[in-house]
Amino acid sequence: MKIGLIGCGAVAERFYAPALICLGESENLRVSVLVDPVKERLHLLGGFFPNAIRAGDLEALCQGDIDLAVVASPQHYHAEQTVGLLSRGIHVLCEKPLASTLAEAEAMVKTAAVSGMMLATGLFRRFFPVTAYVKELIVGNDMGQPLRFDWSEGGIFGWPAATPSFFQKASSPGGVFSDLGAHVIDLLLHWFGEMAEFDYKDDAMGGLEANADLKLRFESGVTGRVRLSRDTAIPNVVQIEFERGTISFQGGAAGEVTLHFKHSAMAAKADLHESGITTDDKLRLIGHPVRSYAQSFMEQIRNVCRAIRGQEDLRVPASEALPSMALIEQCYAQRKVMRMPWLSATELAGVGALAC
Amino acid sequence: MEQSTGRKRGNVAVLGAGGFVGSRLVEMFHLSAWAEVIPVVRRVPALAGLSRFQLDPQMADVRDGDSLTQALSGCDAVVDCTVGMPGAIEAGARVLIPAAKAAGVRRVVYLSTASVYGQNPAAGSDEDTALSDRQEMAYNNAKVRAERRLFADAKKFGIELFVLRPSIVYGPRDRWISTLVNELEHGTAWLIEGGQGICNTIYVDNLVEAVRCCLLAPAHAAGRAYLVDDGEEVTWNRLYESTARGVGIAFETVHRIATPAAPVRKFTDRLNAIRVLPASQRLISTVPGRLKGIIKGAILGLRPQALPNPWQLPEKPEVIHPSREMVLLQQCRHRFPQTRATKELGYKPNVSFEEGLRRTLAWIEWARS
Repeated sequence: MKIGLIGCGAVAERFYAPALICLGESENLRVSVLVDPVKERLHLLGGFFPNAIRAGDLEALCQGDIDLAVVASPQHYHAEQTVGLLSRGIHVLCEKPLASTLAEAEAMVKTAAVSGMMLATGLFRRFFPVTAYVKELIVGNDMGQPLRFDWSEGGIFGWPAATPSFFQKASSPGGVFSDLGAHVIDLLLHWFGEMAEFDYKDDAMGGLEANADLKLRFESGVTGRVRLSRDTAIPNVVQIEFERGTISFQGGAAGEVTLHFKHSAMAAKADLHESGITTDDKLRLIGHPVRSYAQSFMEQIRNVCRAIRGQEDLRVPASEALPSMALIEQCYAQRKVMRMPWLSATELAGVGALAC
Repeated sequence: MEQSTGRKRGNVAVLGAGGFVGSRLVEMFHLSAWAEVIPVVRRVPALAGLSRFQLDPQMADVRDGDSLTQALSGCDAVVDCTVGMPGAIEAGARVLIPAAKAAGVRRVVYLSTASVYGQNPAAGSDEDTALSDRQEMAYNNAKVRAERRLFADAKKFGIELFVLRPSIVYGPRDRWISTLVNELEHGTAWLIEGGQGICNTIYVDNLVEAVRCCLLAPAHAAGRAYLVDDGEEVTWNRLYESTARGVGIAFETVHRIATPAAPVRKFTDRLNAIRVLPASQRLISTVPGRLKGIIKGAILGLRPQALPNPWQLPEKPEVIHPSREMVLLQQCRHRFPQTRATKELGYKPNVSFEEGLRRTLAWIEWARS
């Protein structure tokens, strides 16, 4: 399968390049085209894929050059590039956030349906074993019904973004809530179902928020809070309280959890493993360790490739991103300014005007 | 930079705008509409917090004259809030004034440090005290040399230079109070000499006010250094007690230790002393990031590590490691005079120590809640 890497920024360099190299042989993949307007970035990624054709834009692509395009360009290019690729009969795996607006995302999904091409979205935390584990706990009722959650994740921004577009309102519809929140909101909706009501606050004052604070209630009765940051070291922990205990894990952790059962004075810190086989005398043996963070990222690509070949179902089609995008847009539409207790009275007076 | 109030001054570039002081300066100037602020940062990720505002940030390496000149173009004044290793401090100082001149900047405010007198300054130290660049701390020496270079260049290029010398700058996103709260919570906070040393605090908003005073000051006040603080004497004892009370931890948990007679430099201190040498910094800058990580890991692997003794109770007391810098700082018995800043800049701190600490602790609670 011939792959085109559209956008050669940090996510292409740090994630897609090593993942595609690793999967190359086992999945019979070959990166045949690299696209980026910046020559230095093309040169850098060309080091990973020396045989790939390098192009400054998508117009240079010829029919049959690629089977699957990985769109890893800045967010505001996603819709136009994806629609163009799908229309030319090319399957697409588009990085998250899927698009700048819900309307754009819906148009992308519609184009995929009309063209018969596959459109997947890069919500790769869906492939984390802990994601499936939480879903199993909810569905299997092993710890009782989920009651509430607290999701706190973020820190001093360290992602080596190649261009400032990430932080410019003209090219990004939102800040940390749109970026990291794309994963978080998607998983919460995946686990707890329909959202009933919310209260959203952030610290954008004419620009893009660096901190976001969301209180949520789901139709199922589950309540909780999401606190995200990209300029402050906040606690990095997700806690979900069930009737009979609490599971907690780090926001970006794939398979490490802490379990705290309600009537125990102790907690268990564990690495998730496959449950293994059951022996004749009914003893269950522990299986292999579950997928790691990087392996989860690769599993997403492998799933897309196998789905294109008809070997398995596409696990996270782009349509799955629409509910979380809709909620994020609603939050932005009804945003309030979060409390910032260090600001003086003069500054607070200025905040109101800038935050509109 | 008119003397009038209530209207915007010219464009003020802030170097190191993503850091603790720089980011607060941008926030204050912008929210109070006091000036058109141009944040200048070296790396894209430093824009994360600044992007809350609709500003026009510039990318520049303060050690690169061309990129700095370009970033400063169209600015009336520059405030240098950059921090870094000693080599970078000196390299930045060599570039700042020529770049400002080339960009047409009139006034430069440089954030130096009271550490130019040492962490435990001699009694009577003030702005006229001669400085040494042969001190124990490489950071102090770098700041002394940076100041000298800046004063010489400012004279040569006709730039109005103001140098501020704050000591313990605290506030939201600082390292002092955050570290102290962490130590209080882990039972590892300590004081020497009954905490009677003077810590010469300045709340970050007061430092920004001092910068504002520099930007407004008449030209004849330029070409000088100014000591600034909170306008009140704060001992280490008071800082620790107020902080402990603010976070609900008994002040009695703070360890009272004897002043280390001859502090033994730790392995990491010795390593850092080599690392910060200008020659080392030049060499390090040529090493690829991944190789740096391997070398760092190998060096740390060489550290003498005793095997853990399994025969001990879990409640073993936390081991306290007084850093050399803190030992010296807590021995300080001198409160720096504010006379020059008050008289020539009209500097008057707006925020009391208690209020500054309250806001800082409120930020910590905000970040954790």
